[in-house]
Amino acid sequence: MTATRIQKKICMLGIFGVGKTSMVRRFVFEKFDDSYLSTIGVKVNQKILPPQENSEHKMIQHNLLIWDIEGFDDKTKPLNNYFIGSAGALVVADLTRMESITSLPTIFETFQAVAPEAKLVLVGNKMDLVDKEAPTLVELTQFAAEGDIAFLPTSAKTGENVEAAFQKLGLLLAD
Amino acid sequence: MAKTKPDNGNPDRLAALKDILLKDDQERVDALEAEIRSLRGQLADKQLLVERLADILPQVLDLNVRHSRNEIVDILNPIIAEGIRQQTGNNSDDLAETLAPTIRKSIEYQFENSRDRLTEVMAPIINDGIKHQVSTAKEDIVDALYPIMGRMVSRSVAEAMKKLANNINQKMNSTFRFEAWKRRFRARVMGVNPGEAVLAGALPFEVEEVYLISRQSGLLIAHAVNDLHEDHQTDALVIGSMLTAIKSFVEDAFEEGEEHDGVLNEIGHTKQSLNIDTSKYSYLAVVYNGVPGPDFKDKLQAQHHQIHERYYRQLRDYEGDNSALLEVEADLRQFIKKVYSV
Repeated sequence: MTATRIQKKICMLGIFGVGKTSMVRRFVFEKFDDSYLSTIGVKVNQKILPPQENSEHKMIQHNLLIWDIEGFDDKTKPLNNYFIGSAGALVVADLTRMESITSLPTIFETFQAVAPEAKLVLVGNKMDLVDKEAPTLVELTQFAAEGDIAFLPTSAKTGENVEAAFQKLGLLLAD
Repeated sequence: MAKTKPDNGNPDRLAALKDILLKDDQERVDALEAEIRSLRGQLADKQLLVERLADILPQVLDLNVRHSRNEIVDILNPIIAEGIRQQTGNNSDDLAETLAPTIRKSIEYQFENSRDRLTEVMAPIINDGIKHQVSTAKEDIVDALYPIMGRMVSRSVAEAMKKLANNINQKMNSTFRFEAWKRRFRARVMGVNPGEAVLAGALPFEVEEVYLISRQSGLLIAHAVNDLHEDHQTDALVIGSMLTAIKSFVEDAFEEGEEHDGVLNEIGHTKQSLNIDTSKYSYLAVVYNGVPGPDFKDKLQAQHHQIHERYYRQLRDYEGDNSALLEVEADLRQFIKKVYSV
């Protein structure tokens, strides 16, 4: 069965230093350098996912345009315009920093105000640096369960679950 | 033998004896006295003295400088300094006149022999001087540069106009050639004035690429490349998205107050330019180089309008599936030919 190729815009969200860019770098071959992030606050990369079957048994191949958006912090927020037209987002938290988890409600709220229909996957990055009982991991798992959000712990350093996180988002987009 | 007794009482005899005994000495004394008189005479004659000393002074000075250089410098320094001070105060014009050739020669010498070092030393001074002049006497600088810049600009414009005139002449001269006939025929087919076609052909202009992009998501709906650049590889999907990001950034940065309807229409680059026509659901971005014709923007707008009319529903509901919009690419190719291939 030939897969239908569909483009989707997705965003990488999270506070500064959680590993958004490192995850993208693990996942795609980059065309543009990081200077775009510090100038206009965004850098776009492309990744074609393997064909996936959706719940209607239709083969879909997603061509993801990944908008790696500068981090949220107390003083700066990314341009809301960058979220417009997003079909999904990968929200990244840092398992070694609790503040990256406490900031999640603001990030979700800001993003969903612009793209209410977007599919979301939450990832706890830097899993290689914490153990399974780490309070951050427990907190994040609970946060995802309460919000009914797909969740995966990842490591941009080792590559563990990075591809899986994007594919999980791809599956959500296909339905 | 009996001893002779001296006769002290006879002065003549004593004098005669003296003459006999001291004759040689007396002659020497006379000669010396004559020489002393002559020398006194010479010392009294200042002119003569100067002439004599002038012959030997250089040798004396040279010897002294060699053996007691430091002492001489110590002695002369305050005298020279005082002399210069006096001259500067009393006779500065004379001093300037005297020193000018020496200073000029010294500078010339430095230019010839230590050009790099001189440049190194002078550069910061000149730089500061220019900065100072620009900040304090901007108008004067403009006045000074205006004739030069004006001439440069007018020469450059004249050169460009000459080239343009030559191009037009060449094309007009080839009226009876097959190429010209073909151009006129194509102009007629495209509905363009043949004169306009000649002018368009003379002006360097070509559309390289056209992007139709979803205004909301920045996803690429269609993309066409000029046949002349078929080998030109672009990552059109990523470029489409980055262009959208840049467009959003600029529009947001220049947003004024409550007005949210400002759109980015043009982006200039060294060689290429980008013209953007924005509508409700999409924008059409054209990458070109050279000078577009006066109705280029109208043509771009008309093309976009036509796409919007024909594919309104698909554009409105667009969510990344291009299968219902594949024919747009052909329209874009046609557009490239229409604005360029006349």
